[in-house]
Amino acid sequence: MNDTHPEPAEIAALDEDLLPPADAARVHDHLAWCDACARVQVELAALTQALGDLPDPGPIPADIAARIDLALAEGAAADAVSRETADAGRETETAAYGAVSVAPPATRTPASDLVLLRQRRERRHRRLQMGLAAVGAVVVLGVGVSIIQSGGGMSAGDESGGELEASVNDQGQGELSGPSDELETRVRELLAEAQDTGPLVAEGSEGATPEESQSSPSVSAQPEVPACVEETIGRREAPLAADEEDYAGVDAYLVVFPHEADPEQIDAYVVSASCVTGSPSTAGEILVQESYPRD
Amino acid sequence: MGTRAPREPAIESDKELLDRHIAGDPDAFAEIVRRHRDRLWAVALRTLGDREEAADALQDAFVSAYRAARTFRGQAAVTTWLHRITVNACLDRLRKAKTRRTSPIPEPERLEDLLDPHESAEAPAERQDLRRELRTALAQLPDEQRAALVLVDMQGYPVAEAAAILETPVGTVKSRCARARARLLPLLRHLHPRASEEDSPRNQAPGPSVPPPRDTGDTGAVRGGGAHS
Repeated sequence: MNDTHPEPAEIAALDEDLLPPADAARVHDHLAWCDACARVQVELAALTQALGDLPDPGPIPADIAARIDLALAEGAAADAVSRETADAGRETETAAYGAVSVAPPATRTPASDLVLLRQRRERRHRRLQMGLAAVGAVVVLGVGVSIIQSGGGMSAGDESGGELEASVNDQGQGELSGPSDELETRVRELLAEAQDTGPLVAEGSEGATPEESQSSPSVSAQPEVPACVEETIGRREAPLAADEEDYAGVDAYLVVFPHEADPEQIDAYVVSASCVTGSPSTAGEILVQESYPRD
Repeated sequence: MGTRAPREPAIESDKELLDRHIAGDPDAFAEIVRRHRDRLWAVALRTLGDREEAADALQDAFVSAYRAARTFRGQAAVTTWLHRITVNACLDRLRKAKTRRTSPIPEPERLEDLLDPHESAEAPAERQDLRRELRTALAQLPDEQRAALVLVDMQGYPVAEAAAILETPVGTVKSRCARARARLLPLLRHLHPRASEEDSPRNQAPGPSVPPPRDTGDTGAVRGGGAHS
């Protein structure tokens, strides 16, 4: 039986009730007679205590608080400018497509550029949720606003004429700002698009026929996944769906495969696009790998 | 825009403030920021261990939250949502830093200064030693283990709350914390053989008294090992 000492991780796991009953019993028995391991257990508790006793870093420093306020204020200012642009009508918005500089706030700073960049990403994300993804160019400078203002997401579907223009403006980058339930949502959207593109797009625009939708470049049913991204994931089969995404500011690809073992599940990978956009030596990196049940 | 001087509303919930922000109230989000920034700052600073990185991460997080307020579905508390965005922003910065092959985790001496601005010289030297060692060791943890440990052991959040923030099952949070603690232990014991307060002679630094099969404590015994980074 107790011929080997449990590792500290096992003792720590025991303390968190993580061990299977048989292992728990074995470690527990061992601790009863082995002073050295019992001491590890005491030390683990002392460690937790010491971590909790570390002094709080204190309130946010004033300069950092001010910096955040400034970034948010400039975001708000940019919002106001954007609304004016949108109010001026769709022609204005369409005309602005392609322009590199987008009506900046009066005082333009690197911080405001950051905010503007984020706004663009956000808007792209909104359109993407309408099922208008296109795999394509990485850099998009569209300025559309009306869709996000209408509430975003599928509820924006009745925005008249939105999807045609969006499919022109939007070259197909979404944003996954981080939380993985957003990722799951995005995975499901992507699968829905890939499996059944017509209805999603048709929902998004009264009057658009499925034929038009399917002939549009927004269909992502046959994703193009760069070879280096496929290599990073290391799976040979064809993905169920894929698209370019902006994962919390990182250009990335979201690629969905059948689960390797469980037919009831799917595997989603978010791979940084660094191997595509970066220098040749850059390797791709799996930022997130998650499995979800199929619907 | 008046966002720097939010007026103090009576007692509005975070959710109400967020709704007002979505409705276009320019002051509402500033109030949310004001309410939560200190705690989120602590989380970011402890997770990243670097003042500038933490400041950038927190700014990213608040800007994201500002922009993504509509996506908040009310299934979690606003504070959980903000923590989630902040922790994700921190983890993203760590990942990016790795691809740049530079670590934002600074040298221990600096880390100490940064994390402990209020530490006075009155604190007993040995306690200061322990704290320094803890911070040094923390910087060596895999990111996700450190994120879990920061929330649970340092910030004192309930495991369930940490799980909601990290969007992982409770068991995963416990496992990350357990592995992190086990991994910290030999680092601390090596530096400071005093944690047990029992019989370790103070002047005999090395030589853990325990014979663990592997001395890193990063083991596959719990769930697949700690080969994270």
